[in-house]
Amino acid sequence: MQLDLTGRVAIVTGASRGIGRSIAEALAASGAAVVVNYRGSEAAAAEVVESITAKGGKALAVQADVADPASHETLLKATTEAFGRVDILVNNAGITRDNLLLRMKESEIDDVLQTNLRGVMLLTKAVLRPMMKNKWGRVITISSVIGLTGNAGQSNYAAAKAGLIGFSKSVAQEMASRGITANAICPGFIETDMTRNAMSEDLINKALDRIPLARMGQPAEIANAVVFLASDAAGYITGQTLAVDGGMTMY
Amino acid sequence: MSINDQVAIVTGGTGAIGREVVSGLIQRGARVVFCYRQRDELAEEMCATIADEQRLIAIKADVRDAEAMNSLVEVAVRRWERLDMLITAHSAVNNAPVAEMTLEQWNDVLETMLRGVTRITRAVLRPMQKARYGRIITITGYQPLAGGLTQANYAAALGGIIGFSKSLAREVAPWGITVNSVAPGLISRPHMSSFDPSYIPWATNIVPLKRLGAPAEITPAIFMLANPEAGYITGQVLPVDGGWRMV
Repeated sequence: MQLDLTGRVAIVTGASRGIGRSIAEALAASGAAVVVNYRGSEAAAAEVVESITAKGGKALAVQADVADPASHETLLKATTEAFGRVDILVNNAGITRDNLLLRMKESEIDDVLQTNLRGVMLLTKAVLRPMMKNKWGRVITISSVIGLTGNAGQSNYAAAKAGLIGFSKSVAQEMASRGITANAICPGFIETDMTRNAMSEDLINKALDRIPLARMGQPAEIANAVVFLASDAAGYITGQTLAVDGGMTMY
Repeated sequence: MSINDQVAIVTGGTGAIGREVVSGLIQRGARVVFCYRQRDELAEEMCATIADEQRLIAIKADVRDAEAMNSLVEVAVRRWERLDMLITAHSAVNNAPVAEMTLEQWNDVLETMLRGVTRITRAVLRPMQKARYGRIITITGYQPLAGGLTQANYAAALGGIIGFSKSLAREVAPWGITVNSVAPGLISRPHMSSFDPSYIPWATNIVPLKRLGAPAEITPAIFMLANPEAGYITGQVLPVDGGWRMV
């Protein structure tokens, strides 16, 4: 697509691999300077930065744990020091601690809500202020089809991801008068290390049975939707939830 | 991947949104056949200013006429030997309170809006299935969710378009064809002067972004969904409404 993000600065959380990596690369390819946030995978994040800069893009790896509000200021400071501003926040980082609810430990509930919901809320809060100053901003939150449909063994994850949708819509309403839009993307069954390693072939085939397009999605297909929502062209779209899931959910 | 050199059919090409769709497709390098019902002069002007006949063809045809819809597709395929996109942008408004709405008013809107979409869609399926590729984007609106005063016929037709699009998305997924709907919110159009004068202040106030949308703000969502890169998005309804409906 012909979308130009030149001059924009984006933070992508959890960008060292999978969908986050693809989002960071796509934003950079459209001209944005990108902060590649990671928690533990320093080497992988450095590789993402290298792949972006090798193509003439601008990128910087910054370590921060989304679950830890103390590190949000570090992330923001590193961003503005390197690139002078922040226009786009992509809330992508997330964790899973799957278990049936009956067996789920309190820590498995807390960890998932801490990172996937509470962390996103506080980081978004921190980033809104500089966006308000610029009277322009894009908050793009990566939810999940699980947040729409629920999933056995993922009640904690589903609660967090559904929570993000309500959160994103509320931010959209609070920030509309400031030129800031907030939208959520719900990826379906996407081919990443996480899904490849965690699922047997049988389980994968069962999942594909429920997808009209009968294939897994690619991280780049999520990234394209992010680039669109981050662009000026999407300025009249806010508070929406876009499923990129091969037709798995049609809500 | 882009829509450069691809071929599109657009219904209602002389409408407020249709015009933006046609010129946007041409700008992005696509070739377009569009149909229109009444506005000959406007269609001629579009052909004179937007692109030459190598890339743009206007055909006067009514979406209520199945034969005419078939020939629209024939023209595109015969001329360019492919058909990649369908965007349904035609509309028919015939407002009245339900208690006073005549059968003609129901039929006019449902026949044009809903049955019009089904006719042109049927016509494009064969070449798209043959090519194992297609992007179908229907334009619906906020009325199926929000309702529209004196627009029960229009709301019913638009709601029908959503159900139709989702069902079709399931049916044609095996051929790599995606089907999605874009739902414009309150859009400023030329005929707005005929609206109740209290409408625009009301509408502006009710939308979180505090302004009406422009037709040119709807089309980017259409082009995003029409792109080859959007191949994993199907059966979705994307509102472009300044945050009015967040359902």
